[in-house]
Formats: sequence, structure tokens, C-alpha cells
Amino acid sequence: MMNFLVKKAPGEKKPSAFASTNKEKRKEPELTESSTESPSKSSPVKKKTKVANSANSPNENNKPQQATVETVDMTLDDSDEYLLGPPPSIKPKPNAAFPKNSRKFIGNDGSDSDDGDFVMDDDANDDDEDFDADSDEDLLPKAKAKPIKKKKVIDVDDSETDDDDVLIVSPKKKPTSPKKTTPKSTPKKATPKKSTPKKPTGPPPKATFTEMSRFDGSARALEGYTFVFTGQLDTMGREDAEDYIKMHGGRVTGGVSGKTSYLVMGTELEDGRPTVEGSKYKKAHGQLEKTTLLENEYELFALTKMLHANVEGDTPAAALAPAPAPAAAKANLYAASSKPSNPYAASIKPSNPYAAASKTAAANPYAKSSSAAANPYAKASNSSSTFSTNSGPPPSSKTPTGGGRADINDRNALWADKYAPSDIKHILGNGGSVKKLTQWINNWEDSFNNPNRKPGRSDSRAALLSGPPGIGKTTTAMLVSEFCGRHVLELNASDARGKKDLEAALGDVLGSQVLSFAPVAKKKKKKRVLIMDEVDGMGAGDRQGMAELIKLIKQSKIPIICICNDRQSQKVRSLANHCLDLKFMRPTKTVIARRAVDIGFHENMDIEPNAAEALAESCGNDIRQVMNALQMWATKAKGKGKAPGERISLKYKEFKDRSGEIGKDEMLRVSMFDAGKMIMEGMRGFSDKSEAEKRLHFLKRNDAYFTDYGMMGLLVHQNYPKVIANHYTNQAKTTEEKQHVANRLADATAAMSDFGVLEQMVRGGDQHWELLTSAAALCVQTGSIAGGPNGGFLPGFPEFPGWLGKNSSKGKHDRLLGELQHHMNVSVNASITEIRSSYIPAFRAKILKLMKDPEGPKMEEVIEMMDLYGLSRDDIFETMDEFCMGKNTDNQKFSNIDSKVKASFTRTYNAGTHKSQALVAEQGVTAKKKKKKVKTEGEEDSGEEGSDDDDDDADALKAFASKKKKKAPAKKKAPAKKAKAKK
Amino acid sequence: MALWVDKHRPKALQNLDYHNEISERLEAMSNTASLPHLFFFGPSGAGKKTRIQALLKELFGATALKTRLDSRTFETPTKRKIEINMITSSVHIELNPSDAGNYDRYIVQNVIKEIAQNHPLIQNKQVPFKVLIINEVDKLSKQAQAGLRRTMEKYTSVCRIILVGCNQSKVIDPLKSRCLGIRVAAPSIDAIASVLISTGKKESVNVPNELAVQIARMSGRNLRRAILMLESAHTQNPQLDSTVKAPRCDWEEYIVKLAAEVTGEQSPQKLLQAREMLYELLINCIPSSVIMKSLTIELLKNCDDSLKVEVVKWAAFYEGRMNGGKEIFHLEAFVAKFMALYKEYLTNLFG
Repeated sequence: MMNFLVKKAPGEKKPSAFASTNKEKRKEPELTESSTESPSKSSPVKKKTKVANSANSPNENNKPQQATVETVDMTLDDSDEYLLGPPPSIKPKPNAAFPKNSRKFIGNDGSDSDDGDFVMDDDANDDDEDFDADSDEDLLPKAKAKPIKKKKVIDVDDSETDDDDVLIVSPKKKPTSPKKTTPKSTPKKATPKKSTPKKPTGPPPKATFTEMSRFDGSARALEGYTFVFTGQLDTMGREDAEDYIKMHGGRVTGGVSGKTSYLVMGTELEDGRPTVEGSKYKKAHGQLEKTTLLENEYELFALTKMLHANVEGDTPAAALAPAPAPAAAKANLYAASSKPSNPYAASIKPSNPYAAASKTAAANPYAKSSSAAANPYAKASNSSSTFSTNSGPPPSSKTPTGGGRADINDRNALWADKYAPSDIKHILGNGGSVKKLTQWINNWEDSFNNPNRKPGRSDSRAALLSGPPGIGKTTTAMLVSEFCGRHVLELNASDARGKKDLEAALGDVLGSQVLSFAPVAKKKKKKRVLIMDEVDGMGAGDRQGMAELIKLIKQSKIPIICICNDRQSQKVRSLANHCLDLKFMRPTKTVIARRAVDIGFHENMDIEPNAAEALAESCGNDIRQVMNALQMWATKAKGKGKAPGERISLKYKEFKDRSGEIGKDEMLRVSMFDAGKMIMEGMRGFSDKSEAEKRLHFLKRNDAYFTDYGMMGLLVHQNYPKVIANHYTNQAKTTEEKQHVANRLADATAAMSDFGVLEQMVRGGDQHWELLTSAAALCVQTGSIAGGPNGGFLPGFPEFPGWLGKNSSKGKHDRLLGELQHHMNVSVNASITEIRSSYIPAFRAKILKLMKDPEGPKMEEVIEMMDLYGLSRDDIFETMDEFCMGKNTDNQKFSNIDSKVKASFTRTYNAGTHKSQALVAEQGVTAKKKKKKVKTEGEEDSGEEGSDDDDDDADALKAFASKKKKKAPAKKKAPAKKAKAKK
Repeated sequence: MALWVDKHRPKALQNLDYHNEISERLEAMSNTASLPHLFFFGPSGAGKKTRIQALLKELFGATALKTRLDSRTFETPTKRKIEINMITSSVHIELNPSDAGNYDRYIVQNVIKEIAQNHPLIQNKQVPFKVLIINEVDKLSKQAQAGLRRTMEKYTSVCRIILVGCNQSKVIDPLKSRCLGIRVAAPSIDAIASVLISTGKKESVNVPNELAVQIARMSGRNLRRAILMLESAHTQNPQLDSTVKAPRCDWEEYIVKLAAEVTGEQSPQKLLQAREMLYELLINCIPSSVIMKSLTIELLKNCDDSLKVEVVKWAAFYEGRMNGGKEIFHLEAFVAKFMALYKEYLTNLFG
């Protein structure tokens, strides 16, 4: 750390020296040079500088270093913190990795190097902060020793400011910042992002409240603070409260941690205990130096008001100086972009390595981008058109890298295409998988096309990428293949992929190489890679496609990348055995939000970080969807008559108000369990709301039913008594109340019974599907009765419906009983019910008595009786045992008869012939054969007298096991049939 | 060595022990060649099938008793193969379409229609038709029952249908109007007791009167069960005297336990416990209507008259809802309703 700083300081004065010390920085001068080549462009940055009243002649030569340095400086300004703040943003670690990674990646600008972080997602930021915190103490003394140096730096800035750098200006014009300096002991979250005044030491500020009313302040009032809620608030629901925080730029987390600035306490917990008994309270109470307790929401409003005042007070200064230094990890980027004077611009532009492209063309893959403007995400050539909105059509006509997508130069191109990663470094998230895939392709030739080496067992000829849609699996496969220098051959669901088609299309390809006739083509023959997209979509039409694919994989001479959504599907499972299994996860919302903010910036949009996160959340962390939603938002704003140059804003509040238009249907993302919980908790949190809101909530719960209308009823049925039980034990005290709860229970079960009637109408013989909506309403009714007028609380995670399991074992028993009845049918004219309720108990008593006769088991009599009723041995020893209720059933079961008796019984039984018609029809000739076999075994046994009787039993068991096996398929089929029938 | 219940089953109409007026009527019918369609209904264990078999014997002679198993497969419109078992003799066919569950209507539309169309194998001048016995007709879906309507009318020249079911009210009216209904009521306690004693005599076992009446009461006027219970009691204590207690069936004891749980405590937690017990009963193939009935009878033991009315009302209400579908919903609703009623009753009783 110390080192770093020392290097920095000279760097500011002597760019060359600085460059020599840091490889990454070396790039930047080049970049700036190139960016100066287009001075005519009215880049946002430039505008910003004008706003800042300090932009003058475009002498941008020194800008890069200055800018980077600047970021440092600003934090420097703020406090000793600067020692800690800058490094994460400058990312020494990724930089160090650059040389190794090949030069292609050198061109990472500030935001790009964030990508390294993106992979690590949220935690990365936390790490950064931890890092800050740790080093904080270490560096404390040094930092204190630094003031002179700091001053020096600022001086330098000042001297150069005249040249026009916004960033350089900013520290100067930020007189308040030093005052606001927060000492190290202040929680990290708060300090870097927001320079909080009046809080010299200890926990974050806390205002004493005077008014009992809600206060809505600036969108940045709570920025940098983390809030946790516990218990139920008086005037607002949990969701409203979270919205409130987010609207003011704060962060809401679920649990108390070292980074929690405030714990907002409600009056009581959901289950009725006082708030102080909650674990959150206890934890927060244990770390009062970090976390401040707010007794109720009015304290929260008061705090907002106070902080709002601070922010507003800062604004003039802040307008010039981007208060939160871009250096400070994550929130800064966001914050910056939403500010009038955009430090983001400064931090990105100068450090943009792409600009260097024209100079270092040969080495730099971004050379394509002839313009210097920085859009790291846009495919190469479009940067100028996006960045400077007023410029004419893009100068270059370089072909986009992505195969066959919309022309990215097109103004109307989908953002999802336009900002699709063009390099593997830009892929959001799943860094491990991408790396593995790259390695795998690179090693492929060595593993499988190497005559000197036999492929090991663990090597896979194919890779299987699996994960939800919209997270870049196909893109990854394409980019990685390209990166590894291979031709891509893609087959997706739009191609026929039956056995024959695959053979025809791929048979030749898999063993061959590409011949290129292009004149300039490299001498080297290019290898291929086959991408099988959407393999889980290989359906009935693609006859034998999967088997053929597996066969092809086994012989392939080129790597095959298979892509699917559902890793668990039966079809894919067989394939997975032959593949390198790479699972893709959804990137976290923070990661996506950050990228969205960046892209928004390039598209002339100001997106609040919280809004971006909410957007990502509402799209279910689907990047593609987020892009589409953003584009729609932008288009809509333009349609409303915004001037082309005007920046479009996307605020959290706006987003919440209009989220209906954007994003996926909310209920589609809710899991079945969450939806069920929502239904069962009824009016929870809405009891004191207006009628309209209640109505809306009812509709929402109604929608929740359709998350999975096949299961929701069962899920609710399984769990709703627990909601009432919770109320019964925790809240109902008097007999009267208990009685009330008992009545409610009866009402809820009655509603469930109504639901059952309707569901039977829907699924039963007549298929009255039009009643499904009424069934949904009844299910919701069950929940709202269970929840009571104030809503209930379901402790824990909803249990999976037990009915399914019970029903399947009922089906099994029905089938067994049916078999039994079939066997007995000729001699007994009782219905199946009567057989179960009357005959079986009588039979059991009778046979047990005979078998346990004190004078030795009377086997002949038992067998005679069995023959008369057409029962087989299995019927007695296995089927009847299934129908035995109660607790002390052990001595009632045939399987618990002494094994010697059983074995000798089996021998006796098998020795005779049993001519019951049902049995003969079922077992036919095989039964006779088996009989013989068992007999010979029996003889052998008697031959070796004294052999263990248990062995005999084992033999017998074996014989019956084989018989059972024969039946097994039928058994399996039966529940399936049942399930089908139910549907 | 057959069980007593089967060994001593009367084979001829003349030997039947009770409901003599029914026996006389059946005998009269068997003498004419114009047997109408019949619908035998009444609780199980009352002797419906016994009477039908005796009637068949009266009509066709001993050939009707030479039965064998037969099965037929057919394909539903959804390409599912369904197998249906039946018991046949040369003069009659007996089958149970409700075995096919949701596919019962295809059985009615295919198998039964086909059987009804065919002429009987043996041309008999006196009895120019064959008999088709359809069991558990009350368990047939409404669609399947409707499918029987036209079949019953169209093929009367060659086929007579005898419907058998427990619950008359679950058979649609059009079917009932096409049949001569014969109600075989459950035998009275005395009738059962006398049958038990005579059965004992045939087995040369002395059955004391007290025991016979006790068993008759416990059997719920189900003669089959009564005889089976008598035999169980005999297996356990070969010397039957008045001190012997008839053993209860496993599931009956379980229901008694369930009733005790429910009357012991009324709370949501108890309901969850009761749910598990109800599931256990259902899994053991105890029909939900039997559970409902036995449970109600057990619960009523703890109620006073005013409460009894309410409980029976709700039992009937929820029992009526249980045809197909998820019976547990309705059983549970009944238990919860009982809990609420009973809790209130207790509060009023003890303050």
C-alpha cells in the first residue's frame, strides 16, 4: 500500500516515470492521445467540463494520469481514507495479471477492469471494503504522517487545473470535504461513499425525531448506509420501508453484519415476540459502535431529513466535485453517473485503453475501433455513434464480431446485441466456467488428437454448458471458440437434429478441418468447434438425436460444446455423462446493475444504482432482459419529447411506479414456495391499508396461485394450519380468543374443502377448467381466513405437499389390494372395501394362529386355505403385511414369523401345485419351472443336512426376489398411471 | 378349509335366513321368463350378492355357479390399454367397471355394450337372455352411469342387467327408473345373532347369546363381518363363552384412537396430528366414507343431543362432498368443524 502511494505521487508530476512503474498506466497516455484526435466531438465529458465551469482548451494530453491520480486525490481530500480508497478502484491485482493474459486484454479501462470484480460479484466489493478496513488500522499512523504529501498532490492538481480537467477542479472546489472528513472508526460503508459531517467518531449519525410524519428527501440522502429491518413497523409494511430506503439511495440487507449502519426496529416481531428478543436486535446491540439502532420509522424519517439537509447543503459543491470519489469501490460509479457533473466520465474516458487502438493496432484486438470514444462494451465500431450523440453516422464499417446478429451500427439495434460482450473478458459472471472452457478447448488437441497420448478417462470430448436463459451461455461458447481460434459450427433448435440429420450434417465435419481459400488466409488450417445449442430442446421430432449426439461425441475429432437450460432433464442427463459439466449461474443483481449503469451512461441515461438493481431483480437477473427493458425505457423517454442530447434519468421511484411496464411478470419469478407463503399469510402487512390496496393485494395473491396451479392448492393445504397454529400458541391467550381461532380453523378447512370440490370439477371427469379461477380464489380465501384480519405468519420455509407422497403410497396399496381381490374373486363375492375391512383382519388372525400353533405350524391347513381362496405365498407374506395398522403391529405381521418356520413353509408350499385360476394365469408356466428349481434347491439343502436354515430362507427369498423383479415394472407403472389419471 | 362365512353361505333362495319377503319375490320372478333389470342396494354385508347368486341358480340351475375368471383388454381413445377382470359363467358375466377409475366410462361404452349385444352362448327357451352383473354401480362416475342408459334399453332381448351398489342416492335417476329396485336392508341385530348361533352349531361351536349379540352390535349390522369376527374370536379362544370379547379390527381401533385424540384437545396442532392419522387410514385403503362414518359414530359418544345433531349434520355435509378428488380435504374439514363445535360445547359446559 505504502509503496503504491509513493509511486503515485511522483507519477503525477512525471508521467513518464509513472508509466514505467506501472504497466497499466503505460497504456493510458496512448489512449488519451488518440482521444484527442477527435476533439470536435462533443463528448459528454466535455460537456461536463463546461458545466463545471472549468473546461477550457482541450489539452487532454495529461488527462489520463491526472484523472487516475485524481481519483486518488479526491479521496485523499476526504480524509486519510484515501490511502485505502484508491487502490481497489485502480485494481492493482487485475493489472498485474494483464501481461500474462495476453495483450488483448491490456486495453481495459476503468470500468472494464471492474469486470474482474464482476466475476466475483458483490463479495468482491465487500472484500474491498474489508480490505479497506484492515489496512485502515495498519496505515493509520502513516496516513497521519502524510498530510504534507497530500497537500502537495493537491497543489499539483491546482497547477494543472487551468488546463481544464474537471477532476482536477473538483477537489479544489470542494472546500467542504476536508471538514467532512470522517475518521477511520466510522463504518466503512458510510465513509467512502458519503462524507458525513457531524459524526466525528462512533456509529453513524442518528437524529432525534420531532415529527411523526414521513419525510421524502433527496434521492441521495441515505446513500452509503446500509439498513436492516427487524419486526413490524407501525405505519409501513416491510416492502414500503425498503422502497423508502432505496428511494433515498440507501441499501437494505436482510441480516445484521459488521457493515450494517442502522437497524430499524419495529414494535414487535412477526410472531408476536417483542423486537428486543430478535436475533437481529441482539447482534446489533452487540456492535453499537458500528450499528445505530433506530427505535421506529419516525427516527428513520428524521435521519433522512437530517442527512437530506446535509446532501442538499453539499450540492453546490458536489455539483462541481463528485463527492464520492470514484475510487471508492462500488457505489461510486453509480453515484457518479447520477450526478450533474459526471466524474464517471472522467474516470472512464481518460483511462480508456481502446483509444489507443489506432496506435497499437497490430497488437490490440480493439484496433477495429478507429474512433477513440470510449464505449468498452459496444462492439468495436459503434462507439462513436453512441458516445457522441450528435455525430454523424459511424465512420467505420467494420463487421460486427457476433455472427449474424443485427448490425450493431444500426441506431435501432437492440442493446442486447449492441452491448453483447465481444471479448471473453467482458462476460459477466461465471469467470470460473469461462476459464475452464477456454482451457478445455485449448487442451483439446493435446488430449484427443495426439497420437502419442491416449485420452484419459476423465477427459471429455464435449462440454455441457447449463444454466438459465439470458446469462450468456451461447455468447460464451461463441467467444471462447473464437478466442481459441476455431471456426464455429452451430446447430440449434431451429435445425432439425434427428439421427439422420445429425449424421448427414456432422458425420463429415467431425473428422475434418476447414480449408480456406481466402487469399490472405493464414497458412495454418483452422480447426473447428461444434456448438450444439439448446440440446434440451431436442424433442420428439429429433428422433434418436440425443443418442446419435452421444455417439458422435465419442468419436469426434473436434470439440463439441453442448448448451442447455435444464441440466436435470432426463434427456440431458444421459448426455452429461459424456461431457465436461459447466454450470452457469445468474450473475448477481449488483453485477448486472453495475453494467446497466455503465451502459446507460453510454446511452445517455442516468440510472440510479438502486433502480438498476431493482430492474435486474425484476428481470430475474436476466441480462438480456435488463438490456431490453433499459432500451425500452430510453425509447419511451425519447418518445415523450426529450431532446436527443438530453440525458434520460431512471430513478428508483420512477422505476417502482412504472415497473409494471418493464420486466417480466412479477409472479413469474416468485418461486412456488414464496407464492404459497404469500397466499397463506393473507392480509399480512395490508391490514391497515386502503381498500384499493387490499384489493390489489388480493389480486396479487390470486396471481400467486397461478405460479403453479397444479401444486399451489396442495402446498397451501399442507401449510395453512401452521399459520393458525402459530397464532393459536403465540397470540391467543384467553379462552375466547382460542375459541375464535378454533372457529377460524374450521372456516379455513371449510374453504379448503370448497376448493377441493372445485378442483375435482376441474380435474375430474368433466374437466371444467373454467372453474380454475374460482378455485384460485378459494385457495386465496383459505389463506386469508387462516391469516385472520391482520394476516398471519408462517414460521419457516413452507413444507412440500405431503399429499403427493401419501397419494402415491395409497395408489400402491390400492393396487396390491386389487391384486388380492383378483386372486380371491372367484370364491369371495365381497367388494374390495369389504376385503380390506373384514376379510384381511380375519385372515390374518386365522393364519397367524395356525402358523404359531403350539404343536407346530399347521402348514397343510394354511396351504389348503390359501388354495381355496386363490392366494399365493406373496399375498400372505407380503401383501397382507401392508394392511396392518396401529402401533404394536410387529407380532401381527407375517414377515416377523420365525424365519425357520417361514422357510419350511415356503418349501412345503412350493412342493405342491396350486391351481387357482388367477395364479396360473398370472404366473403361468414360469411358476412351474420355478417350483422345480426351488425343489431341487430344497433337495440339495436336505442333502447337506444341518446346513444353516437361514440359508434356506435366503434361497427362498432369492426365488421370490426374482419373482418380484418380474412384477417390478408393473409396480412402477401403476403410480405413474395414477399420476396421469389425476392430471 | 374355508372361512365360515363362505362355507355356510346359503346357495338357494329357500335357504336364506332373513328378508323372506325379498326371497319370495325373487322366487316368483325366477319362474317367469320376464325378469326385469334389477338394482340391488343396501349396505355391505347385508346379503345382496348372496341373493343374486341364489337367484341365478334359481334361473339357470347349477351352471350359474360354475364360474371362472376372465379378463378383457381394450384401448381408450387416449391409446391407453386397460384391462378389466370379470367373473363369467356360461350364463352370466359379472364385472366391476369402477376398477378402471377415471376410465370407467370407456368400459361402459365398450366392454359392456359389446357384451350386451352378443347373444347368450346357450340358447335356452325358458330364459332367452344372459345376465350382466355390474358391481359397485354407485362408485361409477356420472358419465359412466349415463353411458348405461341406452344400453339397458336397447339390448333387453338378450341381456338383463343387475346393478349392485351400496348407496342408492349415488346412482342417477334414469338408471333407477329402468330397474326394479330391491333394497336389501342390513339384517337386524337379532337376525345376525341367530345366524351366528346357527353357524356355530354347524361348526359344532357353542356360541353364547351374549356374545352373539355383542358381535352383532360391533359388526355394525354387517353379517359378513359378524361371521368373520365370530371366527376370529373362535380362533383366539376355542372355547367361546360369555366372557369372551370379540376382537376389533385394526383399523377400527385406529379410528377409536383418532376420535380420542380429537376429543382430547382442540387446536391447530391437533388437526395436523389428526391429518397424519387420516392419511394413514387412507393409505391403508379404508374408504373415506367408512372413515367418516366410523369416526362420526365414535365422536358422537362424547356429545350431548344438541351437539349430536350438529355433528351429524356436518358429517353428512362433508361426506356428500367426497366423491373422487382429495378426500383428505373434506375429512379434515369435518374434524376441524367438530373441534370448533366441541370446544365451544366444552366451554359452555365447564365455563
